[in-house]
Amino acid sequence: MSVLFEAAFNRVFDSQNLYRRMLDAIARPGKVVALPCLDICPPSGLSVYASGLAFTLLDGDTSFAILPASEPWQDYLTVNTGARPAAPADAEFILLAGREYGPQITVARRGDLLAPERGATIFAMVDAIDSAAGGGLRLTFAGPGVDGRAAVSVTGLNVANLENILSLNREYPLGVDCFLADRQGRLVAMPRSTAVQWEVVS
Amino acid sequence: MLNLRTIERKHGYNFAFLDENTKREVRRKTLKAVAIPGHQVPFASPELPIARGWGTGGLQVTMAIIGPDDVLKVIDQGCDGGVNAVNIRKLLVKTTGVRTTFATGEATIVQTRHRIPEEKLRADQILVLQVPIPEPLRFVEASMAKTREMHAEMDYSRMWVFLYENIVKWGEITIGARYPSLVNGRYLIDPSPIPRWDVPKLHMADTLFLFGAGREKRIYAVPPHTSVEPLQFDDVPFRVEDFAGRACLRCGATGTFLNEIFDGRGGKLYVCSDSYNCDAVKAKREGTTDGGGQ
Repeated sequence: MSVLFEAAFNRVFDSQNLYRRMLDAIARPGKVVALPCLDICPPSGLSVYASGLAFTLLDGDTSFAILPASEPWQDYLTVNTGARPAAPADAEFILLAGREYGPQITVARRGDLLAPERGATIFAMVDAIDSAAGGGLRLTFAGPGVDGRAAVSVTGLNVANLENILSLNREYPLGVDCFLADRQGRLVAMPRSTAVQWEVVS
Repeated sequence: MLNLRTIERKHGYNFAFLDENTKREVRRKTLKAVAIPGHQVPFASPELPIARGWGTGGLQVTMAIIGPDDVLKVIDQGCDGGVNAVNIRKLLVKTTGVRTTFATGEATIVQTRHRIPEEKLRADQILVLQVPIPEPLRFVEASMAKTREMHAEMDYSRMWVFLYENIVKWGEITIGARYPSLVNGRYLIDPSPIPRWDVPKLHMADTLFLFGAGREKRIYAVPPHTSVEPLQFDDVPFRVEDFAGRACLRCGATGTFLNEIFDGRGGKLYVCSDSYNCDAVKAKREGTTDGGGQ
């Protein structure tokens, strides 16, 4: 099976542009950041924007896992970034299909007290993110980077996945740092330093 | 046959000098540094055309974050014309072609050595600080392996004893620049050799602060809206430098951080440390618009 190499993704300037938006998002958890349009064509089900985040940070020095496992997605990211596929317990980056229950997220790396930065980074693909109140999950953030409180509505994120991610972050500074990207290119970061309250809104 | 000598090279360097792998590593580490405010994240810190200890940490952070649309300001001890600032600015302009400015308000990225500008920074600006010694506990512990454990356990007792002994010996805490400060109630940082004057600017700011230590290979960060508390005792509170009754000789400003200059006749003169702010105040007072920014 042939896998598409994305020649149109500019490894210098598209990466820099995406990275600055990720930096803005993680410095201000709860802020909804717009990602630029990308001229790439990932395999069915894998979002353009989650792929863009992976292209920006992954390379031959890093490892990644996909939850739930998907061979076409894995091949696509390996070919385009050079990163190594790894078990979820070892991977530096985890790509999570937010809607699907991925129980293996619970074994993700959380770092240790000497090196908490070794905790995994999670790219969670969700359906939609909105700063206005709406259906789905209403997340309320507080902590570093947040002026008081910030709230976002997220659809397409399995509650069990959210609970598992939050339980990974119970022992600060150990934990995982999460980027939620929706299908319209909206990005929200949920680093381990953020205190999260959530409720299901119908 | 491929002959390397005949290939025309359009550019001498990659955009922003660093190769993409190096930038990606700095980017990954910077995101982790922001996610764990105040924690020192190790990074590779490869060789640069500027020697380690001359701002290579800040330089690598700037090179990793900068894009073609950024407007760059570089200062050295508050001055846009300092030799370190000029050289770093030249290298960045040569390898990125970005627009530069002296005007603090126009910059999207400010790289600085030893000062935070007087003008309040905004949410759409990033301040990159050059750090000689990232380890606040070096005052009390030489071993980096040991200080890492102390940070892991949040064991800052020896730092408190050091400050206490300072007071017993000298009547007050004698640390001027590099004042140890607790970030987000968890990690003690060395805020780089900024004067005490600038430490409160880190607390609950609108701006993201990134710290790069090239020689020591560490990156750390203070996100916006994050508490930064200088260590202090209930009965001996933290205080900033006192310039009461003094004004800048050049622009007349009070309420700015002043450099002390000996006039050679036994007297002292005071001028602003932040050169752009001094130019702006002076221009306003004299009714001219030439802020020295061009």
